[in-house]
Order: sequence, then C-alpha cells, then structure tokens
Amino acid sequence: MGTYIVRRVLGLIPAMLLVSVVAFMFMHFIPGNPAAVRLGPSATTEQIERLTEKMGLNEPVYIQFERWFWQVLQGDFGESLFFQQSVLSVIGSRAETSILLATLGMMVVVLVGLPLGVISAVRRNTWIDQVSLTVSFLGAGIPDFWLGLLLMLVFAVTLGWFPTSGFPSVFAEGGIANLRYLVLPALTLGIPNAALLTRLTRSSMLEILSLDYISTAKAKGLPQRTVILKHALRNCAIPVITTIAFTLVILMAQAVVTESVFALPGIGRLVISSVLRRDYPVLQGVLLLTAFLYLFVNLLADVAYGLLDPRIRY
Amino acid sequence: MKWFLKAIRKRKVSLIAFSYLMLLVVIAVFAPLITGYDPLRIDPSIRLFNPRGTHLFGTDSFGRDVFSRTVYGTRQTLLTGVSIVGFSLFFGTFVGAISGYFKRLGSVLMRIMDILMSFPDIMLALALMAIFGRGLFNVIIAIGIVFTPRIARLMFGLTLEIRETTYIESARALGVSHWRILTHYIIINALSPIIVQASFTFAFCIIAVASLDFLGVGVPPYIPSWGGIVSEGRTYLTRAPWIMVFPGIAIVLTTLSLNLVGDALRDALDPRLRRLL
Repeated sequence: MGTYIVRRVLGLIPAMLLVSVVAFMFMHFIPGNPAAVRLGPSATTEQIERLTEKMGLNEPVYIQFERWFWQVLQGDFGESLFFQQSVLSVIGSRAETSILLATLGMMVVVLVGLPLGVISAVRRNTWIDQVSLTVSFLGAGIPDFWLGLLLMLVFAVTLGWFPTSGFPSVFAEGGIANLRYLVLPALTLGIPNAALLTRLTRSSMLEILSLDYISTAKAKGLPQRTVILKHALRNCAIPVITTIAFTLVILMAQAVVTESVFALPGIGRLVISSVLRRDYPVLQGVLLLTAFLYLFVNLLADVAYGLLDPRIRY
Repeated sequence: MKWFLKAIRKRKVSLIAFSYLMLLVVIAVFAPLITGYDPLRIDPSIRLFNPRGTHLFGTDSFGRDVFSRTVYGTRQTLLTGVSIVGFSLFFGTFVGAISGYFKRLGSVLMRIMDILMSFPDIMLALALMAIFGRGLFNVIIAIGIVFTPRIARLMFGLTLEIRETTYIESARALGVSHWRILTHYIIINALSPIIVQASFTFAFCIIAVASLDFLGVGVPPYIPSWGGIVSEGRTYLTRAPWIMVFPGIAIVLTTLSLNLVGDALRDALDPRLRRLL
C-alpha cells in the first residue's frame, strides 16, 4: 500500500507540470502585450518597452515558463492587473464564501442523493422509486442559473424565508446565522448533482442487490438493515465515492454560475468579473488551482480505492 | 437510420420528446412567420406587459415581445448546439480513433485530452471565451474544445474494443490500408454509440451555451438567446417573472427531450458497446 501511494503521488508531478504548461500557454495566446495591458492605454511605447524588458517578456518562451513555474511552486501566481495585489491574496479574500458554499452544496448532494438512491434501489418500482427517478431526471436537465432564479422567486421573493442575495461573512455581525444567505445557493448547486448521485447510487445498488451473496445474507435471516447497509452499500462504495469526490470539483466550478445568480462574493464571481475585465493573471491562477484540485481529488479517489478494495493495484 | 426510428418509436415518451425536437427545428426555420413582432424592436409604451393575447409571453423592460425573442432564441440554440456537437464529434472521433489505432501516437494524444479534461467544463469555457472574446463563432469553438475530449475518450475506448475483432484482423490480412480500416471499419462500427453520446452532448451544450449567455460572456446581446433572455429577466424577477420563466421552460424541455431520446437510443444499442457509454 505504501509504495502504491508513493507511486501515485510521484505520478502527480508530470500531470501538474502538463496542466501548468496549458495554463501558461493560455496567457501566451491572449492578444496583446501583457505589459501594455498593465500600463493602460495612455502608456508610451518607451514605457511599454521598458516594462516588457523588466517582465522578461523578450526572453524565449521556455525560459519564461521555467521562471513562472518556479514562482507558482512557491505560491506566487503573479499580480492582478485590476486589484494591484497578488493573485493569491485576491483569491484568498474570496475563499470563505466559496468554501462554505461548496461544503453546504456537498451536504445537499450527499444527504439527499445517497439515501434517495439507496431507497429507490431497495424499493424498486414502487412510487418512491418512480418519484425519485422523475425528480432526478428533471434535476439533471434544469440549468442551474434558472433553478437558482426559481428558488429565489419562490423562497426569497414570494415567501420571504431566505434573503435574496449577497453574503456577509460569518465573522461579521450576525455570525453563524449568516449561513442562511447560503441556503438557496447551496440548494441550487446541490440539487442537480444530487440528482446525478441518486441515479448512480440506484444503479450500482441494483447491480449488487441482484448478486448471490445478498440472497445468502437474506437467507441467513440477517435483518434487512444489515444486508443493505453492510453487505450492499459497502460494495458499491467505489463508484459512489468517485462521484462524490469529483462532485467537489464540479461544485467549485459551477459556483461560477450560482455565485453570479445570488451575487455572492466568492471565487466564482471573481472569475466572471476577471473575464470581463480581462484580468488574466487572476483567471490563470483560478484555472491552475482548480486543475490542481482536480488532480489531487483524483489521487485521493485512487488511494481510497486501494484502501477499500485490496484487489486494486495499478 | 432505421435503427434510429425503431428505437424512438419503442416508447411513447421518447416519441413525444423526438416530436418536440422536430417542432423546434420547424420553429427555428420559420421563426419570422410564427411571430408577429420583431424580437429586437424596442417600444417603451408596452414595457413589462404581462402575458396576454397580443403578447403570449409578455414583454420585457424594453417593450420587446418575449415570445418572439424566445422563438428567435431557438435559432441561436439549435445553431450553436448543432455546430458544437458537429465540431466535437468531428475532432473527437478523429483523435479517439487515431489514438486507439496507433498506440504510441495515441498515448500522447490521449494524454493531451486528459489534461484538457482536468479543467472543469465551465472554467475552461470561460478561459477560452476570455481569449476569444464574445461572439457566436467563438462560443462554438470554445465549447467545442471543451466537449472534444469527452468524445475522444469514448471513441478511444470503442476503437480499442473494435480493433481486436476478427473482421479487422481479416481486413488487415487482406492488405486493406490503415486509413481505410480506420474510416470504413472502425469509425463506421463505432457510429451508433457516438450518435447516442451526441444526443447527451447536445443537451450539455445547450446548458453550457445558455450559461455563458446568462453570465454575459457568450453571444453578443443583439442576438436573442434563451440564456440571455433569462439574464435580462433576473433584474425584473419581482415585477416581471415571465421574462425569465418562459425561455427557462424552453431550455428544460429541450434538454429533457434530448436526454430522453439519448436514453431510448442507448437502450437499443449493442450491450457490449453500451458498457462504454
């Protein structure tokens, strides 16, 4: 197991390097000279040339990449063109909203998707199954921005149960109660993904429930609870855990839309405003961090397989 | 084609879904005949009318008819959707088939696809839109690039499966050229699962395009789009909810129909290939 983990971690290095190359090239494809963008339209040719020289943009691409990559490894993602601060601190100042939103969204996914999937598999072809299948089918087809607006229209505007938009920090006045601002966004983010998890859990549970050892367990007279939770659910853990792990990355990415609907001060909205402001270093930073997160989650999922199922060795 | 129609006809719900999609095509083609209003005409005297006989879906904050904007949005949706699916199908099938057939080249190509897939869809699309700038054509390229690796991954798996069959071996023994084996044996035999995947991809594309339009980084605002209308409607959520409701329903119905058609086609597929989807 130890060598397996070490091998997988070492395998992460080339992947991270390649992802970085893509993110670096992204900056290079952008029309215009970054030095000119930073100085603004009023800059003289001489000023632009001087900054170009200073930023090392005249050097060969591979030397530029090498320097940039070392900086990234040291946590230096460059400076935002708009905020005049380091990219990392710009992203960091918005991390609270995004992390809380992703956590709450994840709770919706797991607490709704998993039980619903198990129940529909166990009570196959009953009304519960039909309802959950229909709902999960609908959930997968609704665009999240529209779902968010509908939830806002019903629960915030009409019923007034939740605030419509914004999110004051939990460290600000109001404390933990400020989380109520994130309830609707978390549902918006969670419901479509819960729908996917329901479908997946249902189909993998059905596959396992039809196996012989489940019949044996039932024939032994074990209570149904034990059969379902211990014998069946544990054995469909691998696909379910993979889906849950990747849902985390998907939630971080889809937050772009949700945060924009509910005007939340998170990383997602930072991405949109950076696209509109052409603040490329910030975009590059977020792009790189999400890709690293994806690779890391991929690694965790693989290690989890190894722990859950001793037969798996790559 | 026969296989396609047979699969659709099997279930009533997929037949309804397919008919709805055909209806959309008709609406898109004959949009000017269906609507009585220019989708772009601004008329402040009829601002924010609620749905009524003369304006089925009401009017927006500029007095534009939401019904005719939604109808014209069908054009944009189908045009971008078909183009994106075409783009990703063309490049994805090509890359996947070559990678599966020529193993050494394949390991490099599929590695590139894997890297593209490690950026979440919406993030990659946004980054590409930041490079390209707003525009109909740019949306097609950006989202096309996002979906190409998915098709390539599927085609790669299919090619690995198909190339081990005996008819490929016999074709090779007969001296059929690699190129001809790829196009006439492998791609032809992989076509049905690819078509199934295309209908799911189409549904994803519609949501992706609408999301970009909603976020204001997709097609320019003078082209009516479903995502764009919803985005305009959110400012008037309390006063005029109909602006965002109708185009939203159009999106949901379309993606559901595509998923239903895709499900019906998948069920009709050879079980050996279905596993890969």
